[in-house]
Amino acid sequence: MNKKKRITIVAWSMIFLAAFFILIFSYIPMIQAFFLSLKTGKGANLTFNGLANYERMFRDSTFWTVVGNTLLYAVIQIPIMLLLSLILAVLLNDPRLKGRGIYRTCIFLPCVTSMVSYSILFKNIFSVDGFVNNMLIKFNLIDAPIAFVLDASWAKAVIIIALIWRYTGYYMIFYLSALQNIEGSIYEAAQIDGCNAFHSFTKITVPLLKPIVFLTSIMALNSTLQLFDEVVNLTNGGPGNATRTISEYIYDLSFNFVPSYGYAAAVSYAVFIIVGIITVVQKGVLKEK
Amino acid sequence: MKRKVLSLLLATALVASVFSGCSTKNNGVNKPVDSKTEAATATDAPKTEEPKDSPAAEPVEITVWGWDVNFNGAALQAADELYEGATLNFVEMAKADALQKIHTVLASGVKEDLPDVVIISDLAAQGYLMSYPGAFKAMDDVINYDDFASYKKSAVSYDGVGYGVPFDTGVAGLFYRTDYIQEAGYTDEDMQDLTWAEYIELGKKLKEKGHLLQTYNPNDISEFQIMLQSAGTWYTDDAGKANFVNNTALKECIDIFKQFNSSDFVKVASDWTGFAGAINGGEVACVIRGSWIASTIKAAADQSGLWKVAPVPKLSVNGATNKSNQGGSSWYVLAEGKNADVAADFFAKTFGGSTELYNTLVEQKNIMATYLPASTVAAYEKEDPFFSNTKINQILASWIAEIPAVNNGAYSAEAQGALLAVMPDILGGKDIDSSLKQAEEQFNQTVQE
Repeated sequence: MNKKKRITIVAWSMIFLAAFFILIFSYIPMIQAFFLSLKTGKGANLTFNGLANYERMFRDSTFWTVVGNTLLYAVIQIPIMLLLSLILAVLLNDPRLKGRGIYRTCIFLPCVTSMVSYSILFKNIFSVDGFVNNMLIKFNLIDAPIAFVLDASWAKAVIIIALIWRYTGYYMIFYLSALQNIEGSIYEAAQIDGCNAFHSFTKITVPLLKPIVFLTSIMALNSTLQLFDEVVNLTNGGPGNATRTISEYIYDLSFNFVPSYGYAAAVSYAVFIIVGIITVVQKGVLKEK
Repeated sequence: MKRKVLSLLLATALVASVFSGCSTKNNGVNKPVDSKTEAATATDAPKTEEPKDSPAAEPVEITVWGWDVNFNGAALQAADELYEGATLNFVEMAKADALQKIHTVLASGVKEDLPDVVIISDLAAQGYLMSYPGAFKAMDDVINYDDFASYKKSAVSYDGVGYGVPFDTGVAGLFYRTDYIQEAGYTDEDMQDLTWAEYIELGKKLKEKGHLLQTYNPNDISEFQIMLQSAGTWYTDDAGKANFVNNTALKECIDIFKQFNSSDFVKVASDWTGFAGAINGGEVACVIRGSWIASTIKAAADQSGLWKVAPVPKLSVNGATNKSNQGGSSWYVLAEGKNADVAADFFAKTFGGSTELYNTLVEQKNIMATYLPASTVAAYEKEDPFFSNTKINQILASWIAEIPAVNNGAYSAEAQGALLAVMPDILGGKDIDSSLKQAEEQFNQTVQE
């Protein structure tokens, strides 16, 4: 008993330190940010103004544009990316595949590159005189170069391609580790019962991976809703506001424009609320089945 | 076995990521620190010796936050050499970082470890002066604002009080390739005081000879700054309200951009690399920018002797001129800084009163400032072989006093943002008036308290 108690005390004291710092550096600023979001004014001239910032958000066309852009990235990029990483994980989990460790590493490598450097790389590849245009012209697919990052739709596409390139390998690792926890005997039993590869994927692999699918989709959604570096470096939000994300708008409101710290905090809380709602919905949908 | 190989590879990847993380951090963060220590040691050196020579002088250290150690830092260094009683410590940061850091430090209300002086770009200055009342030291009693170009004075003042010490100019010029325009049948005289219509005509003629007029980026309307100021107007009126819908100059800017957009004589460049590459690679004949572009043009040493400068083209609206400005920044003394009074005195005796300093700046660093008594210093007489042996600095400096003064207000970034948001529609053929109205609504949303 005495020993157990001591272990509990040791455990709590270890957790306490971490919890203490998380409280100071994470939760208290969150609460402070909420109070800040109730203030209006420019720079240091802030006064309490109730929910004025939240009302303003509903009338702010730029806010809705950036929310729309961000959600569009999420809706297109996350399913493609997660499906790709799932397929890749299943392929690379096949024990008969030679050199799969090398393939895994190669596919994982993009996500260890710095966000800024890979964005600049993509910007160069897709620039007017860049690699993609040169190739397309060489193969006579187009006559004149396409200004990818200067066209509203192309710019969005370039950002989505860049995101998929970088993060597919990252989520593949999650699926790989989950796949290795599935007993091989289940597949063997299914095979004996006459189950083909497609069916063992849809009937065994996918259902058993459900918790991981949920986890990865929440993680991907979180990172996409906070998307900043890629867009700033690739297109700087342009053309117009066509690729601007919520995070970039928050940055603009705080540092690029005459600062409206209160409103910027309110927009941050809007992201928080959106993530909360989507998480609850997602959890509900996945539980139903 | 295979799992071992995989784990090994993953571990290597992880280690690689740690290192790549470090290296990017090195690029971004350590460099400024390096130059900071460099600047510190450079300024420290005289500091340790000075007390021996003049024991009366207290070694006061003035800390300055700014960007570009070769430009702003070099100017301070030169001023430091002329001033006794303080040494300067220039802390270099990237421009965006510096401007952001000033915001955070002033908004947080911290009083310790404030710098004594910061540099702020003129277009952003009003926003800082408005946002943080009392943060900056009023300089009306310290320097004589009549000594500076009038457009600069209005940029650094707020509510009738002068705060900043005007520094560098962004006097705008039309830089052109003499060889290309000669091929198109133009002489240097033809290039003086063009209108925008004539300038576009030049583009068509250049195209016939296989050259392009200039670069064009539909997502960057910073050239509007030059056009608007040359006509003595701005995105906002004196009260800070949007001046879009009834602004004939702005409409003409948009019209010129539309012509560029549908033309075949401009080089589309989506970023600075493409922009500078087109100039240095000899693809374009002209570039219209603030005087600071000269160093970018000179980066192509093989084009020495081929460039000249002329006044910028003129709009057709009332009050339009061939003189304008783009960019430039000024020094601000923080009222709560430890050495505010010494810093103010430093500026009064150097940037606010020493023609000798400005002579050194022009001579050694090609830095042109807005201090009018210095517009005739000897260094301006120097001919520049790169610019066809013309006295380029003198030519540019002679325009400074004629630049129309405009009230930039605090909301230039917001206005540009709102206009950029509707530019794709306008370039796509949507009605200008209704688009401007839409931009005005968006602007009003952004600037509300």
